[in-house]
Amino acid sequence: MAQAKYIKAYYLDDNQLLKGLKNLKKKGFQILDVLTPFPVHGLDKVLGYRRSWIARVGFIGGAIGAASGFLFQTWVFTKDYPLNFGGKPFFAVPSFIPVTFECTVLFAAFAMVFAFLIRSKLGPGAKPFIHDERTTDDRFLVLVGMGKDESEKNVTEIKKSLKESGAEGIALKDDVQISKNF
Amino acid sequence: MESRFKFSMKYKIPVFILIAIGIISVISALFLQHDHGSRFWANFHLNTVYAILISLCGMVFLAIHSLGMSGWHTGIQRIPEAMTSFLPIGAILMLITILGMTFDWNHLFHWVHPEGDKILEAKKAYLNIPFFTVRTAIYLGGWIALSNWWRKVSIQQDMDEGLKRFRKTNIIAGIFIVFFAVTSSMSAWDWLMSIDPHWFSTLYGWYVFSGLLVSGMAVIILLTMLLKKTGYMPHVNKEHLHDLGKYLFAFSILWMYLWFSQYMLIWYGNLPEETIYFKQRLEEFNTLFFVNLILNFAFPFLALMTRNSKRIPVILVFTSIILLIGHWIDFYLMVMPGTLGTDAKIGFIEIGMTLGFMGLFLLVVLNALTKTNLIPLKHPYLNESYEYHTQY
Repeated sequence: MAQAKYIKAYYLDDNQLLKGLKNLKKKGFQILDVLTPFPVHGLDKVLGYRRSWIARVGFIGGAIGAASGFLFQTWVFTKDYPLNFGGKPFFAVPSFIPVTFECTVLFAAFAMVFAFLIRSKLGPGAKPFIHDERTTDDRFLVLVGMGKDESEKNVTEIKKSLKESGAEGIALKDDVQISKNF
Repeated sequence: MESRFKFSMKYKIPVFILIAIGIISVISALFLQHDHGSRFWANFHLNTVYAILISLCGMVFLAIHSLGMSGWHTGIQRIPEAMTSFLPIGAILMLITILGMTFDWNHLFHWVHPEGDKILEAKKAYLNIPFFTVRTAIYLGGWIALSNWWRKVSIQQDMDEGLKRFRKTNIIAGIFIVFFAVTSSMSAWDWLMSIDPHWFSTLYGWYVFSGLLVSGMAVIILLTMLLKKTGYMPHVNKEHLHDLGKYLFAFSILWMYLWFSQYMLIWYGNLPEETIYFKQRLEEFNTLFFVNLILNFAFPFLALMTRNSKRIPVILVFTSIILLIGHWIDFYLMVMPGTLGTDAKIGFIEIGMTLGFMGLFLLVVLNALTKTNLIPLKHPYLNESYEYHTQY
């Protein structure tokens, strides 16, 4: 994750973006990142991304939540501070269910949110680098990596492919740490 | 593309076998059981209501999607439309039950003879045969009229392009959904809740409604897969199945939510006049009580949770079958404790009559499918259905 050169360019249309990306991938170039103002349908597929594992995090979080909620109520109402609520038994499964459900949802949601923030490095104190402010407006930014080949020839080739597919603002950059694409 | 379903021998033979099994079970129940036909009538009523509600779900599906301006379902629209064609048969079956009530052939509803029972006497103004019959006629009459009207307009749309018919179906959907909202609860009270006439629950109407949604979705999935397997409907792809699977998953959770809401509130309030309902089921129908929850919630919740599971036809088909059995058991627990009580069992007659009703349902619905083109050719949203990609 050292200083590395990369090329940045933007498209003004999501269809053009997809076409351009397909082209770049076919030529074997390494696409470091794509920043879009809205989710582009089919983008994950073109970039070859695998399905996110955040759902698994959610499931595990939910399972822990369900168990914690249920077991905590059990301990509180049978061991720690049993109280007579209208003659109901101390181990009252039906009344434990609503809280158990809420804990399931809570733990699952928290687990997913924290996992997401950690994985995207957006936790407290994060200082994300803004490549182009207009990626939340109307620009579809593409960051192309050099791979192992930082030669002039490679740079020109990439710039050419980008130009041909309609990209604008093509520029060679080496001003920020770019972590490898996940 | 032009595509009509042929109700060939390949389909007719299994359907007639099912109906034959049904007839044999009915004869066995009427003549070989020495119980004045109680077991026959209880099963007859259970299956009639189950079949009517599944058939009705076809129209509910169409109405909801029409009002939501949905496009993806257009490719499979003809299947729920065909399902609604069973309603008139359901009405005839209901009429048989009502005749049975009037002439004391059956003893399904204890409120038919309220004499000596203070609670039933007090409910006499609502729970009496004439009023019950009129209400049933209104429910079924309205549902049949609206679904027939919808089908007529839908078929007309195959002939001419344009939005006139499309807008008309929106209006029919709007009228239906309001009518359905009222009549679905009332029919649940009349046909099912009044079997235990000393008891009541304000959640009951919606609890039955959620069961109707799951069962209806399961049947829509099974019919779709049946047609796909035999080469019809090539445009139906994993995207459509995925959405149908999402409905199955979501409605199962809704069912569990309503089941539990009803149960927990009665458990917590602990009022004897309410708890008696569950006390009887937990004591006399203990195994089925929990099997009900496992088949209708625990299983589909885990089986359909992942994204991919809803795109694999085998999983959807298997889960749909389990849910149809599970919801039959749910309706069994609604009908049997108040009618047969401890005499209730699951044997040849129960299974045979259920298969018979299934055969009758398939006969009517598959026949209805032959009457129209399988694809609503000039529907404005048809292309959207062809191109559909479900969101995550």
